[in-house]
Amino acid sequence: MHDLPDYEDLGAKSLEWVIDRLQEFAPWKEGSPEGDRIKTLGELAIVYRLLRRVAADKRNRIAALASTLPEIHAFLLEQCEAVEYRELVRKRLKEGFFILTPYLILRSFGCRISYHEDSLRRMARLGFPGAVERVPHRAMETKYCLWISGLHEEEPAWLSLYDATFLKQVRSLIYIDREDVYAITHTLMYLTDFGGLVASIDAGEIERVSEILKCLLIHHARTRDWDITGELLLGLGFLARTSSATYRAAETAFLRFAWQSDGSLLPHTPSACGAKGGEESEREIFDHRYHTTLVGLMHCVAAHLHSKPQVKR
Amino acid sequence: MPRDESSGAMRELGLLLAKRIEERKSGPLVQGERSGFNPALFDLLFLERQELTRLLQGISLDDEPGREVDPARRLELCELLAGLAVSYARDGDVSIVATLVRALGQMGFSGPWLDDAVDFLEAQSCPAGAFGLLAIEADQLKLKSEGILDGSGLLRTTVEVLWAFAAVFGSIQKQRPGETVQGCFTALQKGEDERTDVFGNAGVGLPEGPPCDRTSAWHPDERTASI
Repeated sequence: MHDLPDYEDLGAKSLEWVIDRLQEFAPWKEGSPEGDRIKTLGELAIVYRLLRRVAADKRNRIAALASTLPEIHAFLLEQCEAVEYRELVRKRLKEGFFILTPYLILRSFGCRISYHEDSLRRMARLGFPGAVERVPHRAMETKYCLWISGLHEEEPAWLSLYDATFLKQVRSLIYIDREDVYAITHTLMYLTDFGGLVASIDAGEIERVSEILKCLLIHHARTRDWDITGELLLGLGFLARTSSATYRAAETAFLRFAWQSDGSLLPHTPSACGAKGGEESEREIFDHRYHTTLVGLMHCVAAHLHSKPQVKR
Repeated sequence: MPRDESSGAMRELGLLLAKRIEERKSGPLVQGERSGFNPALFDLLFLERQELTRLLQGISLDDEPGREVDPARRLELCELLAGLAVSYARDGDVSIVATLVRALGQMGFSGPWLDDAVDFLEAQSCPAGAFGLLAIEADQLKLKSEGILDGSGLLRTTVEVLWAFAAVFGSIQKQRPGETVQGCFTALQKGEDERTDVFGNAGVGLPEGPPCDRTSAWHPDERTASI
């Protein structure tokens, strides 16, 4: 008998970990963006979009969502209004659309910042983001962002975008690497708006994709690669294919081995890669764990909508 | 070719398996031992490679392992084993993939993940007909034809792959194995005649016939030295 995980408790703990470290998501340290920190902020914004959808769902049982969402919103807005951010977009108009991901998410909820709006108009005149060569799942991401942000009213032509992706083309699951797997999971994220839409592919294709995800799940759970395991679980959840024995076994392992008592998640089991992950300072702990923690958080808040409440003792 | 007794016996087994594959018969069974194979899926997923190998080798004499498992769970078990075969194939681990494929064949399973694993094993056929693409590694390690790589590893891998094919093709009557196993059969027979060194170090002779375009970049002397 498979015991259902306590998604609410795990999700609330991970949310608390994120909220306690919101400032770590800020790209601006002494005036200049740090490394991949803008990407990190964009990832937080995407999670925020999913959290808002779950919070608005009448099945939501995670009380902490309602109280923390305004805090995340205010933080994202503060970052988007930072003068450094606004100028960075204007300096790098070709990549500006992608840098603007956090703002585009806020824009999807009606937020408007006039300087960014002007930047977007300038980009459009110059042909961006269309005039940037992107791999198929990234092209899908661009269309997705244009649509949810309200810059394009028409829903993307999902099927033609999907046809070009690795996920549609792949036949053998042996000759596949981690980057390919991320391409697969991201394709499903955009195709379903992180579970908010029913995937617009036919039932046969959903079945094929589910089998692919299950097979990949076996590999990445076996190798204790929890970051990808979490994304694959999310993908199967977005397709409403969560009843298989493989899914249950991998999810049990993900929750048991990746989750830490403070609510953070390890991207892989340390012994599996022969290192401790280089965690020494708080900053290193954050850098190492934040992505898998966001994945775990998304998994729990999305999964708890479809599970029965846990009986608390 | 290694001359010791166990290598000779293994080559004999390889020839028997190749013959049975050619005749579309399953692998040889000494007796129908019941293995009581019914592991928990979660445990199976996280077994260390060595433990997994030991578990699967324990069922090698069972003509239908997992027969005690109810049909629905049996399918889940087979799917997990097939997924593990694909997983280890991603790691390039021919030996454990062959062991998993053999177990799945014995359990009468078929499906696309198993097909992928079988394709992977077929792709490991080296030009001389054995299974195991190790020439580059042997060359990088400066292994000579004598002593260091005595060929027993390649012979063992070849027999493991043949046994896997015999289990799969014998149980579900697939229209394979095709040229790869035929080539292996020929190679094993040549080894028996002491005319070739497909498994390593004999250096007695090379396959007859003129080099064709596909092999011309691989000088016969290099092949002798590197396998």
